[in-house]
Amino acid sequence: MSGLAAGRALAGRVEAQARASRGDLVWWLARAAVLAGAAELFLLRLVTRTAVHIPGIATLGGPYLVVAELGRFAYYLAAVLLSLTLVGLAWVLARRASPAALTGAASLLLFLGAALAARAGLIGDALLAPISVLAVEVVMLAGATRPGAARRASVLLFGSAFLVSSAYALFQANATENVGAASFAWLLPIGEFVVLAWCVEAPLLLRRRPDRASVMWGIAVALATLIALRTGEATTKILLLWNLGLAGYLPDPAYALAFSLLAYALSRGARSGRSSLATAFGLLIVGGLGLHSTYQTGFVLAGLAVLSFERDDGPSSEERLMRSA
Amino acid sequence: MTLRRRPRWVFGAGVLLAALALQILGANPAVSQTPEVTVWLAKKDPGLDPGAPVWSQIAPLDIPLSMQGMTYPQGTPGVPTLGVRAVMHEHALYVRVSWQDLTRDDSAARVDQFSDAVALQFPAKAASSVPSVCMGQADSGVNIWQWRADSERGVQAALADAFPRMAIDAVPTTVEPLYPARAAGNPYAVIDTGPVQNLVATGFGTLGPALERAVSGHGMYEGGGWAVVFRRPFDAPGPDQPSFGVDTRTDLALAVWNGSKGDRNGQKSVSSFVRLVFKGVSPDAAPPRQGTPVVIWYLTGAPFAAALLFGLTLAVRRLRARS
Repeated sequence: MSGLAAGRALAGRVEAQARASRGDLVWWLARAAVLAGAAELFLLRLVTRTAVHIPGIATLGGPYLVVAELGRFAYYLAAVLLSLTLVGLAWVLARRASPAALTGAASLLLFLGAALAARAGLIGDALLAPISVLAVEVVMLAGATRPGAARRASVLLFGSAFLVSSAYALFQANATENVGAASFAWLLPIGEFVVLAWCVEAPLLLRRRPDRASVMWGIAVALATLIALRTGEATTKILLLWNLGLAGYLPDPAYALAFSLLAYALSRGARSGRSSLATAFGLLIVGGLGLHSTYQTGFVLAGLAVLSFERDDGPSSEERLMRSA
Repeated sequence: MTLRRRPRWVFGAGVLLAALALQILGANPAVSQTPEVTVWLAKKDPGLDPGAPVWSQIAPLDIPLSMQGMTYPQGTPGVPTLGVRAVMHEHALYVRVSWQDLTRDDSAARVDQFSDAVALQFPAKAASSVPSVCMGQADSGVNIWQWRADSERGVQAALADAFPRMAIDAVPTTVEPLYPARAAGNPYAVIDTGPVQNLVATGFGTLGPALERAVSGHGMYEGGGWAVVFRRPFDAPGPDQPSFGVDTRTDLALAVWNGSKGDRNGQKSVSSFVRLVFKGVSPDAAPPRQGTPVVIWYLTGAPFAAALLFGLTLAVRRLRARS
């Protein structure tokens, strides 16, 4: 009997290790997707879009084209990594016993299928947009059932902000015969307010004491945001709109406070062994607010799934998550 | 068991190769989810009248604007949103744009006066990526249709209003050497060409008039706002101007100038690109809807209801536990 028990234990360990290895791959993919997405955000959405307006940029044609091509490569790389991350996350969540994880997995796959079908021209935006919103909604609600008030609040705040901003596009796209349709533009500042609340709430996910480096990061980002908004308000707000879906409806200090606390949480998460939390923040930042493209919506879904199902139990949180599968 | 070194490298190389292949093929795996303007099929010619019956059958797409901030002079946050409707009739595109503006600025006769205006911007060619929204770029130009309130009213009428005691003794109006700007083809100097200018650009500082005057338009000020209709046949009248067709799509960006706020040239409110989808279906054929479909309200309202229910349940449980 003892031999049989030892055999079972060995088999269990081997199986757990195999699951952890697949989990490792998913986390590796998620982190790589964040890095590629951040490179795309910086090179393509920020640098080339700004540089194209510089008078005389034609004289820098060569270097500019190199940067633009690198940005495009980062985009395609991020898209491939994101697709694999979504499949991997769905697989990991599907292995878990909880209904929340299973519905989360189903939502990720539903979105991925819809995005592919839309790319192939099989479905139009009239179907794709509601499916995207539904997928975000289900992952958000699944995340809201997870333990931890701070996590629940974080998932609900970002999910709500995304839904409110998406509702603006969704309502309008579906009001084809709505004579004298009401304006839905009022939804946009509400979504922006809620997403800033999400930024402010982010440090609550980290219960550990603040470290000096992360605090300095937060202060630096607050100062940089304030200086950018005060010295070049219009340019900064247009870049915020293009890159993150924020139109800049609220007072400047609100953005400085929110971005500084998010930067602090990112740095603290990466430094304190909560790299999965930093990965989730990274995915959500690259995704941005509102419906823009399936690429960005995919990032939001992956970010919400990681934020909902990551565990705050030390440096090996990813492995523990996978082993719990 | 973690992934061994070699399989991880192979996997990483596979991902890089897949990305490279997509880039070389230009196969964008994502699709846009920005709001779209449907171009419905009008059974009757709507003409250039912003009050034509067909426009009341279609809901406008409400597009938020922000001030132009990439270059000086920068815009003013004067016009928050713009409503856009579009129809097609006999291979011509009609776009109706409306916005609220409490000041009717249709004269630029004095040096301190500036005209209200609106412009539509299309990519010159269909491509997988849109050109820069600020006048396009060298390898990807844009075509701009600009309507001006002062041109709609007429320069002579505006001058007469601005300077009622103005008197002209005798100035020959047909001798070109007296009008060098007109002789040089300056579109502002050529009178009676209509309120819409057809412009092309391939980057910053390259904006100029197109040779073809294929775009017509008419604007009307009513109820504290402007409504303007643009019309152009589907076929491209010249280079750097897009062709349109049934079951196709293109991109459209908009800009509005509020004259009383000093808007002119680059000082304006602008939108991002939205999609213009030529459906070729009559708005009568669309499923009858009164407002936004209920399912959409459920879809977006459900999470908030669920979150509220969840919070209440949690609060009740805690209260019970305490008691």
